[in-house]
Amino acid sequence: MTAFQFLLILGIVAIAMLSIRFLRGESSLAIKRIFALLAALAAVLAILFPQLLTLVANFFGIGRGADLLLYVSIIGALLFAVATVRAKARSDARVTQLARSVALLEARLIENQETTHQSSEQDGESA
Amino acid sequence: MTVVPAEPPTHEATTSGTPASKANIWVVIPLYNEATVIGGVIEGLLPTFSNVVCIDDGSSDGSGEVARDAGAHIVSHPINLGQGAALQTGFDYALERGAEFVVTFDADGQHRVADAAAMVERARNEDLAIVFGSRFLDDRTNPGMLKKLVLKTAVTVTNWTTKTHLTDAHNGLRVIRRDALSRIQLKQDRMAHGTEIIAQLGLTKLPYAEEPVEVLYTDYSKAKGQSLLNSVNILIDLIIR
Repeated sequence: MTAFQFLLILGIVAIAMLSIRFLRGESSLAIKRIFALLAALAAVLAILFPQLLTLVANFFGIGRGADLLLYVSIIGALLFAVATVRAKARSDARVTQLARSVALLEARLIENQETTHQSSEQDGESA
Repeated sequence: MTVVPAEPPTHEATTSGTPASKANIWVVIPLYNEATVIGGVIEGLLPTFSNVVCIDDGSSDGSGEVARDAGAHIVSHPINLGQGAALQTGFDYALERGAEFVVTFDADGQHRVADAAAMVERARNEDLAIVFGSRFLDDRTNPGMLKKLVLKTAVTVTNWTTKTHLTDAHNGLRVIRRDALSRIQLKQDRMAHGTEIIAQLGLTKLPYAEEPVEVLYTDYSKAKGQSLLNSVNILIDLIIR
């Protein structure tokens, strides 16, 4: 097993952990932003010095810089997918609470209408 | 968060004619596209339980109107949210109206009203916070081999993860007392709420028991029942949340 294979496995494990229940809220956002900045920096360096990418790849036991780029992209895509699924789950939970509040509010309104209707009818009879 | 009104509406007017012991029991029925059977289910319940609330979970077949005409209270989800979400809405509704006990009941007519009444009696007599219905405590119910395997797998996983000792995890017939009810907040909108409700009730450490009940497998409920694929969803919903 090359060093990079080991790192790939680590990455997959990290994704799996994130997908279950790890980072929440603000810290998760901050880490995402740090990764985005690092990725941008790495991209600029790789464009300016393509041979640097191959050097890094060789260090990890990979022949070409382009291959390294592919592997890292796959990890990135998976991370994005997991983050999206989790964001949708949170959004769904908020929709559920909103819809429940609306449903209960409507039920209350209908009941209030019925009771005021009944009491006004009774007032009419007694008058 | 649920909006709680300053003065919850009381139901003295509608419950004054019934025995006081039944006045503070609410039957909660999650309702989704069961227009052909829900009327009969409600008519079967009303002589025994005067307070029946159906949570119409965005039905497209007019189930809500049928249930209202049959004499049930209706709470309508503006969109379809799932059975677990409907149950939680029903719990909030019943608590708001001062329910002492809530009976959860399926809309498809697979439960017996007599079983529900017996479970409420038992909760009262034995001072139990929760009574779960179980179809595996006697031999009245015959679910068939495959369904039995699925249900037994589900309950085994549930017992592992929740440290309870039950024989039937996905039975829709339950009796829950107010103190237990107020500590439940179901987050599983879809079918995994069966396990979630047990997990949350287990955490309350309140006394519970299982009551043998009969599940009526009509052709209708068979056609709508949980398939093997659905139990895969239940397991994955429990792991990823």
